[in-house]
Amino acid sequence: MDDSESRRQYAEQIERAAEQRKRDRGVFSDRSKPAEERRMALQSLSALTDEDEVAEAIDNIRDREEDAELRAAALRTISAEVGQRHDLIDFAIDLLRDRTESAVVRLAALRVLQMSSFRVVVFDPKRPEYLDALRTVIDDRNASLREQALEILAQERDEYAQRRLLEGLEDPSQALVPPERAIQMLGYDIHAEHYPILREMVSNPPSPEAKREAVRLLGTDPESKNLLADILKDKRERREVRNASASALQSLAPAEFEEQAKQIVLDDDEYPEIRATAINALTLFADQEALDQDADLSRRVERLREVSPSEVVARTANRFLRRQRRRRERRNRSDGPRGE
Amino acid sequence: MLADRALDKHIPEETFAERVDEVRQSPERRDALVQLLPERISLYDGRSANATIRMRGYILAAFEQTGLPDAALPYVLEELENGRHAYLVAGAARALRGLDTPTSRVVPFLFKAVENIRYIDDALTFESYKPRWPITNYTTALTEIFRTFGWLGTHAKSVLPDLEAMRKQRRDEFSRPIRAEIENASTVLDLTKASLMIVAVPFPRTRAWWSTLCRKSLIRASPSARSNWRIKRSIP
Repeated sequence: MDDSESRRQYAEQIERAAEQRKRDRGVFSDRSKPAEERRMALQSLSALTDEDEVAEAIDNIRDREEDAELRAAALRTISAEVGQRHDLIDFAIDLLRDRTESAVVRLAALRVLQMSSFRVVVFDPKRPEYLDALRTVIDDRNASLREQALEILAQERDEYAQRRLLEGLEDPSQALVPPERAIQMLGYDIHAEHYPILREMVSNPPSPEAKREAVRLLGTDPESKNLLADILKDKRERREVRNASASALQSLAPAEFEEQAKQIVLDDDEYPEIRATAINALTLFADQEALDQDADLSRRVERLREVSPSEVVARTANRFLRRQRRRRERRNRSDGPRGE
Repeated sequence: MLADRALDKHIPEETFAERVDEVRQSPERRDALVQLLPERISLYDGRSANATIRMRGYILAAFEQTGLPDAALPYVLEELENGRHAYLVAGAARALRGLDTPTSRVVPFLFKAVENIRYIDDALTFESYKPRWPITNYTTALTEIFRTFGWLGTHAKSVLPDLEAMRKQRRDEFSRPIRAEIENASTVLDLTKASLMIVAVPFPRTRAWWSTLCRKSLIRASPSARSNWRIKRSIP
């Protein structure tokens, strides 16, 4: 195909796309058509940036008689424009705040604002209004809106969001989200000093998921070292909680974890998943020189590779031994009779 | 009172806030608040970064009512110069309004604070400790800074061109409410400047000229500028 032919084909493609766009725009503008069809046309348009198109989309968003999904779609198609105009940021914030507005539209407004917040030069002057709206929304009836607003604030390490999350953990009747989600969100800020309540939660968990998340987060709290070690040792504990305690203890007290991991590998009564986690951690993070001197451990791992009924244990044992073999080979090569 | 009872890491924040509020009502005890400003005292041991900010910011803001003792000034200026938390910066800007006499020496610190905080400003309030949203009348760090410019009056007259530049050339960097605050501050400074000029205007032209000028300026100004001006007017 010569250059002129490919240019012609390219021009045709552009022309076809422009015609399609014009048709989609026509469908969206035609209020006599079903909302679903107009919404599909909007989705094909993907983004509206032309002044008239944006104005038409705003008219549709403002019109509460219109289908909520269509209005939300219209809002999404002008998201690029929202990030460039203070008046449209105000408009989206007003939609987000408005409790009488449809949840679909408010969720779309939240998403559009979140995207716009990355355009710092235009958006940052609006930051106080945005944060104020988010803090208002965290008490909303709509759980999804509440959770998304809280998530954004928690990522900002927002004082009010952290305060409300902690209140919810202390008093479940005040909870804005399930405890495990609250713990995850508090985890965004390592300076939040929520460890006392997390330790309390580990002793008296509202749910197994909350306990697992609390254990995971305690991996940054030096005072929780013994608590995590006890959980890891406790065979009556749920396996995912013990696994979480293994990861947490590993980052908090690597030497102590290494010792416990060896005990787990040597213990034939231990659960396969926990054993696999221990072998894996030893393979990747332990003091390899010291491990290679531990003949008893190597023999036990070899045995596990041969006879363990658990595929995951056999696989991790194999990886452990393979790495150990490579290290030995490297050592042998470097210690070899170079001068002979 | 604060000094009588131990305020350490075990004291609940609510008790701490009550004590600060007590000092607000008894400004003669304001020195006790100064002792709570260093971050390394036991009061803040084991508290979260946000709790420490909340407590120190609340103390700083209280100086607006109690008056700002000299010993607290370094902490206030430090927050304005280096602070990156809107609550603390807003508290520090408010604290300056507790100075016995306004001084132009704080102006560079306020400008530094504007640059530090303008991309990370926040909605906040000092009306209560640990407020709950929705808040009907929140303030921001920039709002407090520009109100302090207005409060400085004649001592900040040199900043008028900079405020005008912020309002006009740099208008996109500030939201509409903040531009209104800048305008209020400019109007107050403008009026203060005019009140200095009055000394040079020979009586009897003075009174008529002065009242026209004030009327025109106050019609342009927003309610908060008018209220600021009323306070200013009472200063000889």
